[in-house]
Parts: sequence; structure tokens; C-alpha cells
Amino acid sequence: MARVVVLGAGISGHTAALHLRRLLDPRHEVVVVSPNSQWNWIPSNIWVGVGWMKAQQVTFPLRPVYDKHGIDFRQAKAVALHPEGDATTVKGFVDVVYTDPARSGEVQGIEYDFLVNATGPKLNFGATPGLGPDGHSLSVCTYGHAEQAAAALAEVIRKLKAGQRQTLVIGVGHGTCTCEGAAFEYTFNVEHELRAAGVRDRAEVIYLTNEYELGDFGVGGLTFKQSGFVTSSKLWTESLFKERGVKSIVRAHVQKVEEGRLSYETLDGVEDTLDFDFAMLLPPFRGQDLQAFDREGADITAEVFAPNGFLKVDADYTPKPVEEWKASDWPSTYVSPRYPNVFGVGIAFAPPHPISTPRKAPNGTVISPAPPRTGMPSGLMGRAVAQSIADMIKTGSSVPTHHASMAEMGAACVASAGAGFTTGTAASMTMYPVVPDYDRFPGYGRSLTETTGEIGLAGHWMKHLLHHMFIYKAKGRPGWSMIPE
Amino acid sequence: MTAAPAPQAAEEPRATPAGLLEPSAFEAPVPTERTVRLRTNLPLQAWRFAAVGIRMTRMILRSHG
Repeated sequence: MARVVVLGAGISGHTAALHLRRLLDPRHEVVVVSPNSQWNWIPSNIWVGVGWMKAQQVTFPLRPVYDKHGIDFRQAKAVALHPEGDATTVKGFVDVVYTDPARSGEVQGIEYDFLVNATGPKLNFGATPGLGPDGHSLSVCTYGHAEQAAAALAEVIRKLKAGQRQTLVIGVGHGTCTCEGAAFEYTFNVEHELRAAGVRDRAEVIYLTNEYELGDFGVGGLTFKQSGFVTSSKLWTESLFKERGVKSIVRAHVQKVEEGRLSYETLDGVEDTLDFDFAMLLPPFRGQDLQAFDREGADITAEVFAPNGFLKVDADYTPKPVEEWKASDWPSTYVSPRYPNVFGVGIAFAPPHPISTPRKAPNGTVISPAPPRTGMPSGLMGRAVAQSIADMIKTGSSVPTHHASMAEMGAACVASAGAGFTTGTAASMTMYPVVPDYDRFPGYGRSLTETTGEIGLAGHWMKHLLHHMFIYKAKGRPGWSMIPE
Repeated sequence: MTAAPAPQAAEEPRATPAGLLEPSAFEAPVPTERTVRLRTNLPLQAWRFAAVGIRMTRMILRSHG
């Protein structure tokens, strides 16, 4: 009998757990450890953040799903890995602290034969003084944050209706943030709501980003064919900003946020402040605060995890200039180079380097996006690792059998630009591959056939369909495994 | 006789924040009214929904190996 422990129940962890349970016979155990009792379809938090959806529409309780599928759910937070065991056991184990109200604070060591680290990001609001809901800005990273943002937006609209002018700043709260696509979506959903409320003329909407230019999205921008031309996501995005009258500040790092004012610096070294009435600024991510210890109890955190707290996997972490980046730098099996029974998937794995070109201000401040690895890529990684572990358990092999490199997979991204069944729009984008491969696709790094983009109501319907489809899948309802990641 | 109220300092016009890009400065093309209307035209968008669905399915299947 083998026990597989999955840390985290987000897109990658939950996908891995469901597939493991499907692929392994019942005598093997699948244990999920997550501090949260709810599953959250995070892409739809954008709609919660403008009041178009309620939190209950983007969440559901995890325990009934896991009970139904025979998965052992522990509502707890992982705090330390012991991949070599300790003086009392040769098996690897993970220390957890329960967040389940019935066992709150209880500490337990859970032994494993295989471990999947899918702990997702730590929302590092602390990287920028004053950033976040506990400071002076809002967020849509969790459904709770999104509900607060919706309430604040409603108050802004009330003031605008009363004749007051308001400045809304939406974007990222640090020079090393990722998920610019989410900030972009929220910007245009807010702008759409302001127009729907008839108050757009009194509101100034500013998109503040660490991207070098609009349309970068942390993937170095996209190139695709449109109307007989090869065009760029930069031109495409600027067109939308121009059409909707949204101002922007690019190449920016937010230094601090105070009540109604943020300070920032730009890539060319200029510092300034920006006053706001409403600010939704995404935080930078880092790995969860997990420590690792060897059999003797020595701290090996720095060997198992990268400095940013993400788990080192089968990537090429050799520092190299942009010109030498290769698609093969990116991991494909997500196995730890040190421990063949430990895997890292989703946001929890350490990428070898960014996808967008890294840049620094004259004083050394890094102002460039970290690589996104959410949504479809996260799900594909979770599935591939589950398939590998199932094969390794069945055959006794120590070599992963399935691969899911971001340089060999595509991603479908539907970025909402306003909600409404007849009035909504969204940018439907596909890219292949996520990480450019200039050897396979000389010139642009991606397939011009599979990399596409268009804006319209169809995109809104597609995003809505995906919302229902993925929640159905995550609930493990009949036929769930037929729905692709 | 009451003293005349001190004149209020006129609010200084706020300087443009560093790096602020006015959307009108972009050279990107702006869609015509017809293009914007077509983006929410139900029959056309129903067709685009099918087309986008096929395109995404093809890409998803390719990514699933």
C-alpha cells in the first residue's frame, strides 16, 4: 500500500488528487492537506470583485467531494518537510498544523511514499509597505478580497453618482508581480461597470503595471495573425485602452501605499506619487513558508527550495543571459532533483527564469513580470504528475513517465473585459507554446496558427462556460475526467 | 468690523504623474462603431463562439499530447 500526500487543493493540487484517486486502486491512500475548507475557481474572482457574482458562485466545500471520492482530507497547513524521515522513521513525512476548527492548532506528522507540493503562492503583500486589504489597497486574489473590492467599488460608484470625481488605479503592487492578465481583466470589468452605471465621464481609470509595454502579460507578449497581418498583443491591447479611454503607467514598481496615495518608481529611475480613491493592486507571489530538514534535523530549505520559496524541480537553474534561454530550461516532470518521490506543480514549482525579458531600474530595482503558471498549465502539470506517480506505484519504477513542459503546452486565456450576457465582452486568447521556443518556431517563438486573439461577446460566453465546466469538473461529478484541464 | 476672510489658496493643478500614458497617444487603430457593434451582435457572436471553441479545443487537445 502506498500513500500519496498532496499539499494544496488549488487547481493543480485538486486536479492531481482527483486523478490519483481515479488511477490508483483503493488500497492506496490519497491524502490532501489544505488550510482552506473551500475550493475557489479563482479566474471568476474578477466577477466577484465587480459584484457580478457572489462568493458562493465561485466556491464549494472540499470535504464532501473528497469524502465521495475516497480522498482523505486534512484541513491543515503544511509547515515542514522531512523528505529523509528522522531518527524514528525512514519514510519521508510532512509536519502540518490543523486549521480545521475541530482540531485547530494540532500538530501532526504525515508520512508519505510520494509528495506533491501544490501549495500555490503566498500572497506577499508585505513586500510593499501598505499594500493589500490590511493596508490601503484592495485585491481580488481570494474570494474574500474580491468581496471587499466589490463593496469598495459600489461606494465609488455611489460617490460618482453624487457628482464627485474619482480616480481608480488598478494593476500590480510590486515590480516583480505576475498575473498581469488578471489586473487587465479587472481594469476593463471595472471600466465596463462604470459605463453601465452612467458615471464613466467622472472617473479616471489608470492601469499601473510592471510590464515593459501593454500586452506583455508576463509572457513577453504575443504575436498572431489578424485580418491578413501579423500583429502584436501590444498593438491589440493599446487599441483597447484607446477605445475605452483607460490611462496607463507601464514599467512601474510600487514602493509604498498610503491612504489615498501610492509612491512608485519607473524603469528609467523617476520616482513619483499617484493619488487614488480606489486602488486594486495585486501582490507579488513567493512560495509558502515551508522548511525542509534532513534525517539529522539539519535545515536543508535552501537546497530543496529556491530563494523565492518555490520548490526546485527538474529545470535548468543555471543563471544565463536572455539570449541563451532555451525551451529545454523548463521542467517537464516536476520531480525534485534531490528526492525522486517529491514533486512541485502549479505556482509552487520554481521556474528557471522569467519569460518576459528581465529589467532593472538604475538603482537595481527589478521591474519586470514573473512568469505566470496558473490555470490550464497548472491543471496539466497536476494531471501529468498524478499519472507519473500512479505508474511509479504500479511498476515500482523511480522514473516519472509523464511530461508537461510549459514549452510544449499551450494555454487558453479568456480575459473578461466586461460582464453581461448580451453586453459583455472578453478577449479570447490562445498561445502555443506558453514558453516561446525559437528553435521550433523561428522568429516569433510561438505557432502563428495556434496563437490567436479576438474580442467579443463570444469570449464572455466562453469564460462563463469555462466557469461552469471547471466547477463541475472540480466537484468530481460524472464524467469529470473527460473534461480537459 | 470683521476682518475679511483670508483668501483661500487656489488648489495647485496636479502635475501629470510620471510615465502616465494618455490612451489618445497610442498609434494603435481604434475600432469603428460598426466593429464595436459587431462585437456584441448575437448571430455573429454565436458563430464566433463556435469558432473560438473549436480553436481552443484543438489547442487543448494538442497540449494534452
